[in-house]
Amino acid sequence: MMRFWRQREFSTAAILLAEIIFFAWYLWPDGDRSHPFLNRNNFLLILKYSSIYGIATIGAAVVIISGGVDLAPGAVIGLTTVVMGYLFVEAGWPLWAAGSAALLVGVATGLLSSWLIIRVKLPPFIATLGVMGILRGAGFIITQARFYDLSAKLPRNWHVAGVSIDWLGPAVMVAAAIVFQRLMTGYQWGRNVQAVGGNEMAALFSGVPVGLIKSSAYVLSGVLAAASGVVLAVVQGQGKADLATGYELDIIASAVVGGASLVGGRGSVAGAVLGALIFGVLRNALPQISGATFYDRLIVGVVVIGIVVMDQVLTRRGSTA
Amino acid sequence: MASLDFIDVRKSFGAVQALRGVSFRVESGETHAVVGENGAGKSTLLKILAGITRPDAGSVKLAEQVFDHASPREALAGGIGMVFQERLAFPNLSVAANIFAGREITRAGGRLDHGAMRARTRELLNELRVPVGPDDPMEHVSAANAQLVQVARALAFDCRVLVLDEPTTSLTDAEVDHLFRILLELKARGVTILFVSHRLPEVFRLCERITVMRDGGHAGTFVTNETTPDAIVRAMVGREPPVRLSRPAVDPSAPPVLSVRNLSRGHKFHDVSLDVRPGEIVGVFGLVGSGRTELLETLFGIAQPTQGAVHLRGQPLVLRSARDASRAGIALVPEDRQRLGLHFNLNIRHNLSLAAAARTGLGRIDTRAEIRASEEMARSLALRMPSLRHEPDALSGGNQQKCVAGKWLTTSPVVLLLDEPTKGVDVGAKFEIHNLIRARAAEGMACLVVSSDLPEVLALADRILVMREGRLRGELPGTTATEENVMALATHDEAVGA
Amino acid sequence: MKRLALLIVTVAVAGWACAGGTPEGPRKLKFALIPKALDIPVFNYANQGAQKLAAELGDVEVIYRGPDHADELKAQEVLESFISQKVDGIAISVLNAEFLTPTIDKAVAAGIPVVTWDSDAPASKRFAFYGVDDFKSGQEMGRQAAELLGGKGTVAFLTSLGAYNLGRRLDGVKDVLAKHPGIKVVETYDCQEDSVKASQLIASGTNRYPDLGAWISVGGWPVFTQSALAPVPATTKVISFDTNPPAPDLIRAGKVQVLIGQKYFGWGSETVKLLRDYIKGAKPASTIIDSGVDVVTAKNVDEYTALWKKMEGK
Repeated sequence: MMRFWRQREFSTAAILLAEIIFFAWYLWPDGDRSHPFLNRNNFLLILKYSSIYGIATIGAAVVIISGGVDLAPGAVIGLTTVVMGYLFVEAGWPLWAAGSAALLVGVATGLLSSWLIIRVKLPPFIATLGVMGILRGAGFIITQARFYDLSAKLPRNWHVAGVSIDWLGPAVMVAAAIVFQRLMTGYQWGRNVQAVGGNEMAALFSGVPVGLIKSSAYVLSGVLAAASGVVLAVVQGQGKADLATGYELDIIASAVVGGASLVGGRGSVAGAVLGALIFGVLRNALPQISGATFYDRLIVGVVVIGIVVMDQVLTRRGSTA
Repeated sequence: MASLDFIDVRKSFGAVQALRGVSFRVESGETHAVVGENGAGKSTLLKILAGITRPDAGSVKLAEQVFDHASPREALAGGIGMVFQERLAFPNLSVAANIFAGREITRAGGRLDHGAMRARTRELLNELRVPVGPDDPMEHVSAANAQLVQVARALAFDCRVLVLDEPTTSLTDAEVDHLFRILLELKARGVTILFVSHRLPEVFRLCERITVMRDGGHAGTFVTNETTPDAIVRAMVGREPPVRLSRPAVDPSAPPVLSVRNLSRGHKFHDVSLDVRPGEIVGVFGLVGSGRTELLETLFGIAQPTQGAVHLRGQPLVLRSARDASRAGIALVPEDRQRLGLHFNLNIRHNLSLAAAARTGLGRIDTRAEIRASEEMARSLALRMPSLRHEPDALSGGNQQKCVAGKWLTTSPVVLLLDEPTKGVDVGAKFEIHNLIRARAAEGMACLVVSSDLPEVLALADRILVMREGRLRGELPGTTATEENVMALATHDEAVGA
Repeated sequence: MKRLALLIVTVAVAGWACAGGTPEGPRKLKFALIPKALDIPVFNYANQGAQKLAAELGDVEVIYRGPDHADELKAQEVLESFISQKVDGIAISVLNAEFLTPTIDKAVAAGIPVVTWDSDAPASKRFAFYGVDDFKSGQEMGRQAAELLGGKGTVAFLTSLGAYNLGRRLDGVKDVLAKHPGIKVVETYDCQEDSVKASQLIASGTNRYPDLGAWISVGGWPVFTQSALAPVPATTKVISFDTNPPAPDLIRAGKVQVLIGQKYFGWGSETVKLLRDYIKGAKPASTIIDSGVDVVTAKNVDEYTALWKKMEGK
């Protein structure tokens, strides 16, 4: 039973909780003003903006666990919003059709990355860096640096069945997290992903279809990043080539903070989502500290180091020999 | 010149007591063997010497001085040179860099003195008569030479005690001779040598005294000329050494399960033809470089043959990957169990189930069924482990090997290929693994065992095929083969007295 | 040894390709139009204005190129490449004045006249700056805000730290607001040129200050989409820079009260004109050419939109 609690996800969740408690205390308002941080609206805001990273980090975590790395998610998100924008605004497609087609951007990206890594045998870092460049370029070429305004054609203050559209992102994130956590732990596919990431040669020698498994990871990463892009296009209302610039680093960091090892073979989807929430809370709370504007980037950097160090300490205490 | 004393050394890892009060003395300048099954505590003892671990109780004295090395660096500084079993080298660096890794010679200001390091490396390599240069990339150095480079590394600084852990497992006889010559020269210089090995003939050849460890304790120290290998084995195992069991006769008219005809793969092996019948154990003996591993890998689909044909149960077999092989019912227990057989990021249960799971596709894992199957397999293998939930690094070499075998046995293969199945495995586990193979053969499994361990091949095989330099040189029936005639086929052209 | 040879060959081939030089042909004046970044949508209009004028004039070719996002090193690279291409004139919106001034001077020293637009490098040897007087336009925003608030209330700023022109605009706003003691600035938000972050800050800012009097944004991030201002209640006024679509729609929807527009098309057309005239010997009357701003409110939004369509050539 002890082993259950020693699992990485719990320490990540504990860190998230500690973070929330800290900010709840630090941002406690004077007088009788309502608490800016600890309220329902803000809670939704955190979830809404974390989910953009969170959905994509699920895919990134699977890739990292499989022993690879994907630098393309930010570019996929950006290009997906562009494709959504083009289809919905210019070509007049219905939203659901535009969204579905936009997901294909993710599939194509994943297939391209896989081909480069498995057939052409490029190191994943280089391959996905190149793909990232291609996608960003494609986005600029399509938009000629303009942007598509989806918000004009979408309902103002859109509520679907009484629920605000802002819940779309968090809903997709939670659903994807549940599905993929289950797939990773309870299905052979997930086991194979861990095997490939932990020892690719041994996996090959055990009859695991290594190429297929790796491809599936990159395609998944692409599709989830595209899903993130679809959500962003709807919620932000823009299709812009430069959206999500630099998000890939936060996405990978979330997965690592959530327990994924860049060496491969270890990590979890649930942990990655918790990691995304940790950063999401940070991104939400820091601007609420008056005068902390310049310290923003510094604090994020320190927090990342702090969390990873804390993780090392906790796991070292947990091992036996 | 330094003596070594172990005084009531105790060490536990969690609930496992690795050393329970070991005491013995190694005289200064002596060549002393330490033998024992895996799990006997030898590796822990060596880790303490190397400064990787510290004893819970008791002490170790080097040259009558108590030492308490808190790190490998301190151990090195104290004059302990270690040569390990698993290759601990930096393949991306040169030979000289490997020798001086962590203890580089620097000039003023901390700059590396490549010239001095290169010169000293050349000196050492010449002394040890290793045919490599200081700038050669380590990854291109053969296993045997890499071993000697490790010895050079140990000797690069004032080495008073040289500790060798299973140094000859990957060496040919000629290479072993070379190594022993070097060791004797070192002995003449007064270096104390601690020699850990499973190979009793070598131990008897090289060492003056032999310490036997068993179950974490000291089971006796013997003077080599006053004892026999059988007595040592008895002390190690606590039982009589295994004798060749009579094998049930294999029906020679039964159609072969695996049929190989004129199989070639470039210059690795050429024109190999063999049959394995149901229930038969075919041994393939050959020394390093004979192409045996490559043959098995080709039969397993890892590599494609350039010529020839393979038939499984009468049907032609074309394998494009290990996955194809696995699905066809062929299993391979590879030689390098750590690199090719085990996943250290997964627990033992996962490792045991991986091959079976990979075969059946992408469905849901029935955890309860999996646990049941793994427990059963672990029991039938007599797998000694803390629990199924632990990772394979908690297992000794022999148990790791059983784990890899178990992974494949779970798939109930039709053909079982084994490459050096008891390399680096203690006597007890060796016995168990051999019984495992025999039991499966008795159930009808066709087994092809590649081994450079002559007694093993003689004990196990119904028929012995000998390979040398990529070709099959001859076949001997298991009942009449002797060490001499097998070795003759393996080393020169005419069979002697087959 | 083989690797060294390969490296030498590669460098040689690359060098030969680059030294190829500009092609000979009918001598059109070649001007480089460099925005701060390609991904800032407003700058597209500069290109449109420039291309339209070039088509009309016939003897001018305008190359629109810049860093894909706001990165001063990349901006410098682009500038350097135009210098080595020996273009006839450069019109640049300067991302970081201190950083790029030496490179601008290098261009001038090489005989290439430089004019800046939108964002200036005042210490450099550029012969003119065409753009809004950021400080004055900031003051205008401050004035509009003070009027809307009746001199009393709380205000939050939205900016992106680091850009010189945005900083000047903010200074202008603060300058005017300082004269109104009843107006209190509760927060200055930095959206780091990320429109998603801008949306996030507006949302969480509104959450924190539900009774906020006004948002003053010195950049157009909140008005390029309908969603960014959705959380802002009707009681909070919004004054923002930039008028390009869909911003005017937001005025019509009542979400935004005041928009400050720059002369987007003029950035391209006026600077091309300045460069052409300069080469022909006619220097401008003054170094700083204030393009002026358009103040768009509900009163004149339809007029403005009609004029915009005309400029786009629709």
